[in-house]
Amino acid sequence: MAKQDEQINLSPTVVKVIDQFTAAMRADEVIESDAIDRLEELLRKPIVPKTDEIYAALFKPPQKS
Amino acid sequence: MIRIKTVHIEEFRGIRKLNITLDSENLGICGPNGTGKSGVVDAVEFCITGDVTRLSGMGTTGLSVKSHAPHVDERDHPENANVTITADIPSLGKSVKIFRSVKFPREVKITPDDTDIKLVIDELQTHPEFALSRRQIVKYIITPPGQRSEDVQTLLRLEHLENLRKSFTTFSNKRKAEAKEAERGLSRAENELKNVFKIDNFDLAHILKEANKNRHLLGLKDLTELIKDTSFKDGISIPEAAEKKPTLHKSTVLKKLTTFISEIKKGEPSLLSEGRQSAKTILEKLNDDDKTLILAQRHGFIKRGLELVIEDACPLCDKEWNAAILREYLNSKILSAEKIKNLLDQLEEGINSIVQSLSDRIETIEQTLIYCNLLTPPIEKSELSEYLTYLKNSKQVLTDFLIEQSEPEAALKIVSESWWFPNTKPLDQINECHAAVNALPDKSTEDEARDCLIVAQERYEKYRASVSEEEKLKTHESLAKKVLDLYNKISTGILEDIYDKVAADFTIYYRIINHEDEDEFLGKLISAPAKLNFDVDFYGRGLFPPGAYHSEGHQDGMGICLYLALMKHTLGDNFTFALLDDVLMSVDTGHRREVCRLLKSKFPDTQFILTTHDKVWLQYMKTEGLITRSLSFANWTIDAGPRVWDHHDIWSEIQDALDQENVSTAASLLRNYLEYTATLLADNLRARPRFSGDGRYDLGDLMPPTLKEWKKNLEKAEKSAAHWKRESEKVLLIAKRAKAKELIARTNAEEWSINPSVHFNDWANLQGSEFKEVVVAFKELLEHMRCENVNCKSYLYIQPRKGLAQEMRCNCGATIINLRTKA
Ligand SMILES: Nc1ncnc2c1ncn2[C@@H]1O[C@H](COP(=O)(O)OP(=O)(O)O)[C@@H](O)[C@H]1O
Repeated sequence: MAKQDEQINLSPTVVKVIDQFTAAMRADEVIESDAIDRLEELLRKPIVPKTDEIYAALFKPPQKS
Repeated sequence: MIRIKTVHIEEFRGIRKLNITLDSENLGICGPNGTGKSGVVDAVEFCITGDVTRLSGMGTTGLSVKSHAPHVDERDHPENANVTITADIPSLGKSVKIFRSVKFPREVKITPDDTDIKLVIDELQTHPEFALSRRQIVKYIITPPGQRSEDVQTLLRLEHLENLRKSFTTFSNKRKAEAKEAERGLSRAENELKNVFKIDNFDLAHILKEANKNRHLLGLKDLTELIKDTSFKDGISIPEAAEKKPTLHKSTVLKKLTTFISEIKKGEPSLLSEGRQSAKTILEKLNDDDKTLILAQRHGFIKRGLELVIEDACPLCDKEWNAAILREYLNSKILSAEKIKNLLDQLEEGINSIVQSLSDRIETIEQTLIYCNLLTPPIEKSELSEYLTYLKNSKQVLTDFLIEQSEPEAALKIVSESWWFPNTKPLDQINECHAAVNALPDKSTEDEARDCLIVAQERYEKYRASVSEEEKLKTHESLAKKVLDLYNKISTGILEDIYDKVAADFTIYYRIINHEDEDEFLGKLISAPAKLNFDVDFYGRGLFPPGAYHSEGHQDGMGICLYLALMKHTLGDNFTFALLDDVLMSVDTGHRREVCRLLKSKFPDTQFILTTHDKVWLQYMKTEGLITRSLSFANWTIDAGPRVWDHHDIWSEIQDALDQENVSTAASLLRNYLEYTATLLADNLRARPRFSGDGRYDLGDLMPPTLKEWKKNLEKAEKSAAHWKRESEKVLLIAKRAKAKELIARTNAEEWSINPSVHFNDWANLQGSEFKEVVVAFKELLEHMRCENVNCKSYLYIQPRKGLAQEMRCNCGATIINLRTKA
């Protein structure tokens, strides 16, 4: 399944939902913009993110070494 | 999208080798079941997408394209199973050749290899829904809303949205569970802190006061306030050894253990036992429901079943049942959606209270284990540790259930068990620990005060940590909920928009099919997260699910309309191509023409390939001008595949057989072809064969009455021409009728019913030359019944289909023979 998913691009409707969804999140001041960027990057991948990945995107800034 | 010019199939499914020419036009494929029609549909789907839904979709476990798409005799040689399509790409004004082999289903060979062409093919690859089978259509119409939402989203390639929703939901549930756990942690930390000072209610001011009392005793400065860095033991000198080892503060520990033991003795608190009981009842219900409902596609199936309980016997196996009792039984099984929601809320509350008690108990045991260790000599505690593991595991199962809300069985097991009384051995260990602490020497007031402050400090730090942990997780919880709500709001909004447009088109299409009886028809798609309700008007009596009152034929019609509306929405101008596999089989005769009209008028730019097992249906498609090309499939054998002919070629095929002196093949070819033609002529000319209960008619049943009807109509036409004084027409018609008589006589067909010895069954025994005469006779006869226009060549048919016959005509309008003798 996953393999097949990788080959398929997101449909225009899905892209539309992601566009509006991320825009709405940005409009909400409570959510950090870095977190939204990370989540958006995740959502634009052709695979549906796992819950732990969403968690990491929203709450765990990547540690810079 | 593309328009197909040719399809070349080799060793694919039930087909050995087949060339199909479409020339970018619609194509009808007709043949009895099991003759390979679906093989063509699968081959086209495979060539374009690399996949065969029939082999990879739902309910096809164990099947795969690679193993089962090649003809069974080539199953070890997937490289021999190939499909080639040549097509036009209208949007680019280019042509393309697409080749795919089952050996490398993911590799498509495109010639020419232009980037813009590749883009079009890639796009097409993501739309396997251009192929639609009846099984799929019915799915959109009668499934329960939850399932429909998934199916329709799959068709719209939007399952991604549904999966995202699931991910966000689980994510949010997890944060909720974590926040709850942090809340419990905080309340425990508060308890512990207040217990050090033996006060009843947690109150920081009170704690500060008590701490200062102790500090007074030790001659230390008062603490002014409790802030983040406050140290209760500020200024106390602690011997290094004691610093390392946590302090066992006798009076606090003793109090804790005494309370613990007396709590156990008091027995399970009613709040807990009631919580367990209520959770148990609900889980049992869910568990039962789950077994029946999940297996049977949840409610939808039972509900549908319930609708079918109208007679006193099962419609499938005819086993008798008592409808009233069965209905009651099924009803008792159905929990409405709201009821389930309420139940789940109640369940969550019950489980949360159990988890709370479990957490408290776990914490106490963990503490006790620490005490056991701190005592000299340490108390043996293995049984107590086991008890702890058991409690922790139980808590895990319950919290998992709250997040996923699946596997009620495991949760049911946990809530059924009473863990309040530890077994004898762990209980002994607790008592032993209590006794050992009690036996510790009492300390001086100063020592006591100092120990108290040291322990208070530990617990204060833990309390502070719990506060910030709780704050953090509460923020996470509310943020996660906000993200989920936003996602639901936006995706539902966008989907609703789509569904509204789709429903509007659906309504228009459905009205076209049913204009004479459902002119006011209205269809609605109502979406909620994870659900899509589909309601349709039933003769102005209100909106209901399609399965409620509409007949199966109407539901089929709705299926195709919904599909077309969805496709139009998804692909817009790119909806240039669709494969409809036996999709309209239960649309009744009266509505088939309208379906043809719908496809033709609303989708003039879409190339349709339609398969059917019904010859008459194929004829309608022709009559309505939906298709001009058609193929007939018959006589499938495993070695040769289907016998396929397009209707212009049969005579040369027969001739080939005759040239090889193969009279029996030629005879069976002619017979099959005539059987096909007789069916459609009988329908065209409204022939009256002797009625057959099973709807089967052989050549001998159909041909004589059809030919009789032909002559009768020509006679009528003569009379009409005479009546209207159209002399030249009359002359032509007289000649035509004379010719008909002559040709019919040559075929002997009229004799079949009178003289069974002169019968088509004997053809195979004729000499080549004798049979050749029969062939020529039929060829001329059939030619004589068609339009002479080379671009039309359609068999004449009576118009209208019902009521007084007005004319006999062809598709193109070049031949119109008046039958009326009245204005
Ligand atoms: N891979 C295969 N190899 C050989 N025969 C097959 C294969 N797949 C299907 N068949 C057979 O091909 C015949 C035609 O099947 P199908 O295309 O489903 O017919 P239809 O659509 O006309 O009902 C059937 O008898 C079926 O059993």
